[in-house]
Amino acid sequence: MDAMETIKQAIISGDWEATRDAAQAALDEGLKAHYIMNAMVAGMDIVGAEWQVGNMYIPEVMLAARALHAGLAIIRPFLTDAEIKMRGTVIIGTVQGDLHDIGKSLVAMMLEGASFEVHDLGVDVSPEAFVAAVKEYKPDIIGMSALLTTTLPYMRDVLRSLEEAGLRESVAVLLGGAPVTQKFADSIGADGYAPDGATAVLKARELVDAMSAKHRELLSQS
Amino acid sequence: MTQEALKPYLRFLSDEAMHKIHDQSLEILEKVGMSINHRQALETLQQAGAVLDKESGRVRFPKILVEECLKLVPSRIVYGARVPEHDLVAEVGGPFHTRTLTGGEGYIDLETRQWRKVLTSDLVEWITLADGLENVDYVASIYPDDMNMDTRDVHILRLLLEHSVKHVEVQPYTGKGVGYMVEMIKAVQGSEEDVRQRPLLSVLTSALAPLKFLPYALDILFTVGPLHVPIELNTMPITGATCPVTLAGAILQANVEILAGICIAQSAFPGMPLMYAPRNLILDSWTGLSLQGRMEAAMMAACQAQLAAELYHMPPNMFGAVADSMIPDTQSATERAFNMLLPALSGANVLAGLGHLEHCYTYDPVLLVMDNDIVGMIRRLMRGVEVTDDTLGMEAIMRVATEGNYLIDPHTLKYYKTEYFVPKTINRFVRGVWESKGMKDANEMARERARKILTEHRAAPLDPKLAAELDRIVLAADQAAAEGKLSHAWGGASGPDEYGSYGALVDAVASGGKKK
Repeated sequence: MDAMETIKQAIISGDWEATRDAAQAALDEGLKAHYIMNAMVAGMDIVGAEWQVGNMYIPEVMLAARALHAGLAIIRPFLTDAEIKMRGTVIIGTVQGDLHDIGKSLVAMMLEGASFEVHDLGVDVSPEAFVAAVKEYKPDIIGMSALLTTTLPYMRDVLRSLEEAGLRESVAVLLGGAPVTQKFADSIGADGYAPDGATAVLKARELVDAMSAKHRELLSQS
Repeated sequence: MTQEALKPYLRFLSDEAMHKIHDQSLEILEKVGMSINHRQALETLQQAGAVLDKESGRVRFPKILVEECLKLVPSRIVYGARVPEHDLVAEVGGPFHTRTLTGGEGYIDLETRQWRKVLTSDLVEWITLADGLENVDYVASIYPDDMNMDTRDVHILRLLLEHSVKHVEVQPYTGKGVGYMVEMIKAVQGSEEDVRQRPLLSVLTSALAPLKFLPYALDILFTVGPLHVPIELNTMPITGATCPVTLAGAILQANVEILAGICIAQSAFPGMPLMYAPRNLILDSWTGLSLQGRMEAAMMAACQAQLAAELYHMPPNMFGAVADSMIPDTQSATERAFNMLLPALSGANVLAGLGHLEHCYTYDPVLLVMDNDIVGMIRRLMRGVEVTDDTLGMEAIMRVATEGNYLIDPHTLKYYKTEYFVPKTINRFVRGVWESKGMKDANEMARERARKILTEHRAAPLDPKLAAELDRIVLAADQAAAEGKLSHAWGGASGPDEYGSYGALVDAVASGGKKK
């Protein structure tokens, strides 16, 4: 098995020590850091696909994500800023008034597993805090979650605050949580809705691709 | 601390109740006995000390005879399989195994979902599916309508042996083909000794309630007996029609009939493996149908499993996945769930009936896949709740309280796969996802799994030489049938017909088998 395949398999088997060692060994052999990165992402893609069809389970996906981070820690010093920029940046949080954590945290970890840079703002996140985080991290996507029907209106408030701050166009908004539906997402002008973690990852990829296309379009027009 | 989980156990009968059933069984056997018209059985029983009563046409069993025969019944039976890793051990106190239904005539098409009489192609599909399902432990016959009835049992066994590597069971509808079946098993296993050690065939034979054995049932017993091919000793009394209407009375009479079968088998073939396998039916007082899916049927099965295991140390074999429903629906799911659950909890070693609908008349491949999941659930239940220092997870609780995350905690990673049984045909989505995936119910998921198994799974093929030998035996049976010569070829058993009357038969037995 060549070095790239070894790294990929270490990710798939969720073995962070093996991933770390394989990444180091590959570096020592003189392999470019971004190839190592690509091999790890390829492994994560397989894990995501296997989870999607029910062949792998959440703990296995999370172990793979942990292995990815262990590998990243080794190669990060050798990556350029552009290479470190992963598939995209996401800030994520449970909206104000809602303390439900588990679904949002799962999605955060799934996104990390899918090579997104994720900043988890936690629970009970106010519209002001979302806006501040957008300014700080310049994310591609804001992920918002709610479990309580009573906290749904806060999602609308976040969108309104983004508009007031002139940031709405810079970021895509993705919603999730038991009471959320596609219809609700459409009604408040969000960019996407995902009923579960696997779909959230797919939607996040779609949104990032759509935004890059939009950016290219804007650039070509200017 | 490595304490095992307490095995859940359900006990309907007190010791006193069990002994009362036993004592009254002995009294019935001694005072009125059984109607048995079979020369070999009568010879055997007379020699063993039973009383042949020419006047009443019945055989009466002294208590001592029954008690002595009970001592000979093994509490452990090995069920061999064509591929030895599928060998099973049915042992009192041990886990349960499952088999498919035997005895139906209808089949629900996997694609059209239309009912029809079973075709030979359905039999092949059925065996393949059962062979490929992980919780179906052995495969019993279904009964095609498009075969030669005289030799159907022989042809069925030929197909079972080809399309399954698991233990197989046939419920012969005639005693006449059983000799050929024994020859086939000997051909597959290579030696009589191997057949005796781990027979890969078992058969079902039945008393006829009330208190009677038909000659064909005993032909089966006497043909397989010399090789100790295991027998499911069955009777199907119907409450209020062919046995008392009460649950206790129905259990008592079924016990009498099975004890009589034990006496015949153990007198003729000491140590012969037998399963205690009554199937009590319930007369529907409106339609007159004999129903099987009722809660009371499950209760009787639980009592009988307990009785067989605790009192007779004999592996109990219970109906299991029964249903009176016509289709896989809420009714069938409810019926089969508790009819498997209760006897499993009371010590059954075999749960039968997988894939069965319509009071034992119809087979459904979709239902067989769903039953496979129900069996998985009950297997999980029987493991109980393991309470050890490690399973309690106290350290994990304290760890997560301060810094950790249950989702990826070592304790979670250690147990999340083994602590839970995950059925394959249940919904696991939220509504939106379920809708986007085609709004499939359990039936549809089971149907998809059936298709997948039927596409991908094939039993390991028979050696061509062996297949040719099996074909030769089947052909010999067909030729004998065509010439009207199909008979009890190897057993030498025979019924009363040739003697004209029961009295003449008893006289013949008394005078050493000579006809008058």
